[in-house]
Amino acid sequence: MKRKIAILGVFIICASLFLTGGKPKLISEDEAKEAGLAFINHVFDVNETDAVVSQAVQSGATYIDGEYKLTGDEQQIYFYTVAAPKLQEGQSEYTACVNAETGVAYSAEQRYSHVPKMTVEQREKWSKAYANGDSDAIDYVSMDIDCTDFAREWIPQKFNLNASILGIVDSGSSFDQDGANTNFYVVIHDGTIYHITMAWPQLTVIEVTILNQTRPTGDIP
Amino acid sequence: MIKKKILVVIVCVAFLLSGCSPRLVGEAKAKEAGLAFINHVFDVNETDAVVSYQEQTGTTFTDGTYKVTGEEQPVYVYIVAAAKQEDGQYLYYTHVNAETGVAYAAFRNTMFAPELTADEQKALEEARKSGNNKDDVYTRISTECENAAQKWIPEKFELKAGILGFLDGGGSLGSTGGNANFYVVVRDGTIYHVTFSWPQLTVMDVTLLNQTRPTEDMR
Repeated sequence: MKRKIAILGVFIICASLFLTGGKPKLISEDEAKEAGLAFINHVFDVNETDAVVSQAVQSGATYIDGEYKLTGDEQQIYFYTVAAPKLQEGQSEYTACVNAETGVAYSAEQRYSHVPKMTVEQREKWSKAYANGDSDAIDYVSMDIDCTDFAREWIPQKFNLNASILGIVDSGSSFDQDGANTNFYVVIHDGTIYHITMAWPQLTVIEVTILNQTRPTGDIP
Repeated sequence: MIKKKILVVIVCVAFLLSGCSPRLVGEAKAKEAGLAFINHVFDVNETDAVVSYQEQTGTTFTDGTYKVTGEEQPVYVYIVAAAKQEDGQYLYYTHVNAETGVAYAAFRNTMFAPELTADEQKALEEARKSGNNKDDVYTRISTECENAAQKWIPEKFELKAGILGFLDGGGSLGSTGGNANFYVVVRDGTIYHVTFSWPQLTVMDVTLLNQTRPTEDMR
């Protein structure tokens, strides 16, 4: 009798796996909303209370022979985007990504329009670094130093680090007619890595992502 | 019932006697893991080694710094040394985590850096003559060593993700040669610390981070 029950149990598990197509168990939209809003509020020091949640799927990738490839065997990456505040139409002010399998919020971004207008001093600083747009003369170093110095203070304030900051890996910068931004990785000694995008010279965090919170994708960061 | 009580007493006594120290791998296992790591990293074929045991002080990361609170469990390590030289020093040595059995660091004795070829000697002399352009020289040393590591690390270690970048750890230049050390950060959070001699571009040491609990020397 016991044997029959065991066989029946195995059969039920196999049938349910077949019917779900091997799709992992996902957290609910409400749980994703709660995690996403908490992350947005924490990262950007705001107090959003409602959001639009949508589920998304991303292709996974496999790292083979020194590059990421789509072999067709990858499991998809399930995540929720949490957009706040809840608006009838148009873009949201803040967006977070939440891993739909683990429930961990791992990325937050705010609209560029939140970056304050440059003060007179900041505009002077920017103008000097911009060098009238002469690409050979643009001073990226001042921006990188300002932003990474800021991040070295900001990251430990925002995240509970279990080890010290090992260093910063540059990931590119750009200047345009009305400001500049830079993005880089903050590497912690224990292997935790944060990707940050900042507006300069206002020193405003536009985006932060904790790496390796989903299976690998071909996308950056 | 009595048997059960006896068993509980035996377990308690065993814990008490061990001082709660974890179960460690044996010296033979450590030697095997250490030699394999040395041979793999330095492309040699050493077959014997001496093994010694160390207990390093652990640390705790609190309030932004590493502190020794006294509550830390020690870090148990085997040092495996191979290729004894005439002067009694060893050419290679490695560190093996005594709890996991994983070899995580390999060193080539700096006293035995490879000799310079004529071209390398020339490059060294030119670098040392550069006088006011020291920054340029150190940049060149770092760039050449990092380029070598970019190729060497994926050849030696089976990476599960791409290399994200390098973090400078310093360098030096002397009359017999220079070196650069830096961290190679892999996108999945794996981190290697590497030292290359310059201009030979020989690996002098490599350490895979986070293979033990934090130690005092991180302070």
